[in-house]
Amino acid sequence: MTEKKTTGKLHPLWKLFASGWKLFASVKLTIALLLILAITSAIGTMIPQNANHAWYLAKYGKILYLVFLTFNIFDMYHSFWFRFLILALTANIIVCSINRLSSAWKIIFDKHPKFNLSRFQKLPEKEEFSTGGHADSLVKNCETMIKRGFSFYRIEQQDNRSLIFAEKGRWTRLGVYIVHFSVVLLLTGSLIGSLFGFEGYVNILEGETAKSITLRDTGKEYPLDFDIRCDDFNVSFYESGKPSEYRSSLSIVENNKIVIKKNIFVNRPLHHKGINIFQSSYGTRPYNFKVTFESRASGMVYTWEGALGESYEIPETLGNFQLTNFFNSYKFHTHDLGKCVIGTLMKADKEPVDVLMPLKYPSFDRMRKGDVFISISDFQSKDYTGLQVTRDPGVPLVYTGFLLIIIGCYITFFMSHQRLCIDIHDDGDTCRVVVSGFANKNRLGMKNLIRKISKSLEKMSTVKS
Amino acid sequence: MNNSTILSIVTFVYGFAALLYVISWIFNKELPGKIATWVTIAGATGNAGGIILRWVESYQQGMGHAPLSNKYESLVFFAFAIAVCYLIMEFKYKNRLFGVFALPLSLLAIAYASLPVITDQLQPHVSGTIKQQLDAMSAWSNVNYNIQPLIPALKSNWLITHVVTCFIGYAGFAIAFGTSLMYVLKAKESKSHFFIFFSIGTAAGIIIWNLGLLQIFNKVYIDIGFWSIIIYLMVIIIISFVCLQLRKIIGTYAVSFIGTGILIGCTWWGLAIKVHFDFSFHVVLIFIICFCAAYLFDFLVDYILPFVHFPEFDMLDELTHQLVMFGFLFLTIGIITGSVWANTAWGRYWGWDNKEIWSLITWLIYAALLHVRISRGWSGIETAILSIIGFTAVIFTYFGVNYLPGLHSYG
Repeated sequence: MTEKKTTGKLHPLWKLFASGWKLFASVKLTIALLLILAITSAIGTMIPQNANHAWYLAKYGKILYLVFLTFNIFDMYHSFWFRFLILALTANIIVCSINRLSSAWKIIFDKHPKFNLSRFQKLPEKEEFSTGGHADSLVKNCETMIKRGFSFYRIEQQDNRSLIFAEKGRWTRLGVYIVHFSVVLLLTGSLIGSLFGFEGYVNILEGETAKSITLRDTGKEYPLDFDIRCDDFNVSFYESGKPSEYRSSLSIVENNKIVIKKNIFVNRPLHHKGINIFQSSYGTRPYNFKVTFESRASGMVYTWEGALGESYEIPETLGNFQLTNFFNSYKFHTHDLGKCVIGTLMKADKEPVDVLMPLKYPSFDRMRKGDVFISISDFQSKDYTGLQVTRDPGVPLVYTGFLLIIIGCYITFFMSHQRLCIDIHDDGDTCRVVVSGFANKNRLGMKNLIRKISKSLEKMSTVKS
Repeated sequence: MNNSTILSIVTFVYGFAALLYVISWIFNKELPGKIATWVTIAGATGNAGGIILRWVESYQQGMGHAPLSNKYESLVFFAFAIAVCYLIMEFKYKNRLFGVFALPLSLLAIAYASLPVITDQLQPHVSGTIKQQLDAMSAWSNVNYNIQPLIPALKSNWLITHVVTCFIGYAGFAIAFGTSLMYVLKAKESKSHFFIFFSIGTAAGIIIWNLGLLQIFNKVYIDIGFWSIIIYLMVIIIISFVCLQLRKIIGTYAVSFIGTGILIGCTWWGLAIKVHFDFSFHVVLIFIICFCAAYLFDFLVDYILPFVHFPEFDMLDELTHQLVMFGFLFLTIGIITGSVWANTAWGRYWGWDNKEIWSLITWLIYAALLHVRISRGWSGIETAILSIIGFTAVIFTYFGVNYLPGLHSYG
């Protein structure tokens, strides 16, 4: 409000700031931003996030792919524009709160609250009754009753009329600011987390030790201050065959000394030096694949033992063969082939060919009708545990925000600043009593309260007389 | 007597209560309403009994966990929460009129939970395509009522708090949806928007119906193309607008017929771009159903609604607000507990998972609703419309997320 008067004389930059302030002080902007965030958030659930770009190109076509790429739709929750929307909402929340807080502050911390009698008299909802009781005793009754339920009250006497003003819950006007503050706190916490924290994973074979982890977002190695050793990994199953529990026995090793020894489960992680270690997956790492090559031209059979990533030069210049992937179950045209190994066959003058080798169906590769038929007869494997390793220094802030937002919502929604006026007219023989009041929200609740107070006053006065 | 027997009886009790509320509403009589209240109390008690019995049974079967771990159990709890929330509001506001829109939701939830599961015992003699269809159908209505052991991720103290708070919140939103629907039906200004509401509603219904059919017959989730959705939405908006204008000139029914016809045609076309159909019989069936629906709807608007009494606007608005605030508090707690749980299980409190995003979308819509009142010039009808949109988001968060493309498919 004050900006309006002063902008005329001030620096243009200040003018710009003032008009920006005015824009962000609008509740309609809040509603618009909330709904825009809701709608745009939905986009990311319709289009799979962070998938393979070749897949995107195949699925959406060239034009749409480029459009999506420009707007960073494939990782939209971390995109520039989405963050900008969140920032705009934050600015909106802060500006609105500051704008309104000053007037709320005046009401809340007013040491001598004014009661405007005419405001009470204008209220449409009043409770009225007449009683034969004495005015003084009536006022006393009122006082004892008001004392119990209201934090502040004042009695004013005028000739034959007593006015009792009371109010409570002034501080509840702060509730909405608590909510807004906690939203800002949450966002700040998440910002701190994304700036100073990390999220990574590591797969450790039983009996082996990991000194570093792989970060999820960049795929880079991240060295740890300590070593994680997996002493044992175990899966227990229900009778139905569904998994019941995953357990990793871990040791944290620092300078060749075991600092912590603990079993971790899903939902029961290990914490050390601000770093959290979670049970997140498991698997078997295969090695020593026994590969058989059969040349179509000569009928000769060659065997080779190798691990994933290793390659082999097949004799008779049949090409170079590399083991690339292993799947515990592999779907081929809706048919489950079970354990499968995939390799790449490269020949000097030809395109590389992917070779699928299911363990259950050793003659599967014959269907390819290539120069060489490749199959896998056996392999060895070892269990590994998949651990999620994170650090998030923003969590305390976020959790504080969580707590405050719940408290704030409760105060905002279910408590109100209630003001009450009991007007007692002494007409000689009888007394006329008018109870009225208003609250800053939940009008129906206030109406009920007024009715309740009036009823019990009436009851008390009739009993006494 | 085991828990599923009790719960299927409760379904009928809720159905009876809903019927009584409707009778009391249409004939404007007190007595059926009073009985309805008692029947609802009985239903809710039975519902609670069923849940407790199921809890006991899970211990007897050696699994020992709260009955809140799968779709069936959550639906049963949802029905209970709606009934209890409604009863509290009824006592607080001394008004029975909105029971008409609340109890049917309770009924729907528990009835969906009690859909028969198609097992192999039911279909020993069928084979081939029919068997495939039945298999797919059982996947669609697969609300397994057996008590199942907990998978490792669900073994947490947060499970109960998270599910209970979420569903109490959903229950608040469900009843708020009922009161908002009444507001919209009562409001004069919304009459001119009826056709738009209706066309979008029908379109959504048809898409869901198609998805269901496809799931039953082809056993695949269809992936509607991005462009066809955009084009289709634009066509719907244009046609709705044209129909709205035509309606003023020609009159009601003719336009409803033509408009619905075109809309359905477009839906079909929109889907047919991507998918090849060979069951034209169903196309005709849907056409007929929608024509009838259109006719019925217009009839309803013109001849029935003016004679049915609704609570006052202020009352409806206040109820919607109270319920949304109640729901919002619990949804907030629900999201927070879920978040804290995710942090103890996977080391992140927010991971932009589809379910998380949709709960956030729901939260944002209701947050917008809560700001409508303090914004000058906006009030009742905007609140009501946002409440309806918000509840569709709730439903989508609950049932729809699993149909989205992506890697997550847990319930």
